[in-house]
Amino acid sequence: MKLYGTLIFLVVLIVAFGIFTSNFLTETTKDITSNFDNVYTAINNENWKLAQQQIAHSEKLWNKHKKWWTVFIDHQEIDNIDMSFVRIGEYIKYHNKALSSGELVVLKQSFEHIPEKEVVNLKNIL
Amino acid sequence: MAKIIFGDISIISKPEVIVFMLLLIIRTAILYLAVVLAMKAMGKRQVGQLQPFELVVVITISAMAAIAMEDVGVPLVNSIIPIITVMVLQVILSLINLKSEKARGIICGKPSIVVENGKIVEEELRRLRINVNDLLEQMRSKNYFNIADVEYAIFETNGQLSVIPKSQKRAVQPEDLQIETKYEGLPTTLIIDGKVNYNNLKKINLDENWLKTELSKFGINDIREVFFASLDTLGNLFFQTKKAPSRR
Repeated sequence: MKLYGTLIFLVVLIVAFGIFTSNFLTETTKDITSNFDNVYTAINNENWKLAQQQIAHSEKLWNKHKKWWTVFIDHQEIDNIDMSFVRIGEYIKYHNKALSSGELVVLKQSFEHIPEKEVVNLKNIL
Repeated sequence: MAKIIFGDISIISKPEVIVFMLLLIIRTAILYLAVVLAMKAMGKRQVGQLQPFELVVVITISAMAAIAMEDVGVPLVNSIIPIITVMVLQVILSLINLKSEKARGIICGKPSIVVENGKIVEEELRRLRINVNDLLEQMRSKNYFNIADVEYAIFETNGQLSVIPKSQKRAVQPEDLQIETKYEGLPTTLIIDGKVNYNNLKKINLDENWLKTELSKFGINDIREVFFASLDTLGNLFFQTKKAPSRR
């Protein structure tokens, strides 16, 4: 009976951990990328000061959540996002519209594809 | 990790190399403990006695642990969760095996008789894809050098060969000679490395005073001098004193 209890507990723990991870990644991604549209508009309007402020805010949020992401996500992905933040920061600093908007889209994609990778679907299983 | 600064030749400084090594040691220690616990949960089996499905678990767990040990970029949970999952599945499969004989036949297979009534069963050997040389080799490892001495040989589900010799070729038993034998139980360990096992003493309704009195008869006044002592079911006390006094 004790063995059955332990098995059920472990299965529930693993499933709960999976659900928690998936929700955590989705929520934090939403949180970090919430003002990406504002950054995009600011870059398009060449409002570099606002773009810099907005991306700095996103980077602050990313740094806050990053330590937990390292628990679940391949550290290479985290390094890629870090590099992307550094690049977009420099592109905005030097007022490069094309590279800034391009890097922003890449950064958004980098964030969004991570929770997608954790979702239980046929594509990820296969 | 170290920051790469342009124009600086040394990319990673010495203390950071040490930290990286420490990181590897900590990760390895955590995964090692996870694997040991998983193996312990699997139960007491020798590697050679593992069923095929148990061997798969051993290989899978070790491979999963090795990946996260050598690659610090892989989160530990990516290894620990699959290890726990495989362990849970293995325990579930063992329970199914325990409860259902039908499932046992599917999961573990059935023992195969390869020598029956002194004759090699060719079809069975062919089915198992085992040649006669392999069979003879396994028999030799069981101390049967002549196939004519064997009545039955059975390949067990864990790959081991069980051999039943012909009745004329087996070792003589006291029963064959109608010799009465005394009861031989398990000897009880009383002292290991100078430390008394009180639980065992209690089980056989004896105490430390009795042990001290018995040892004093042989000139041993301090239990710590004894390296090992046991009592067999016939009441014989066996003991051995320590050789190195410094280890007392």
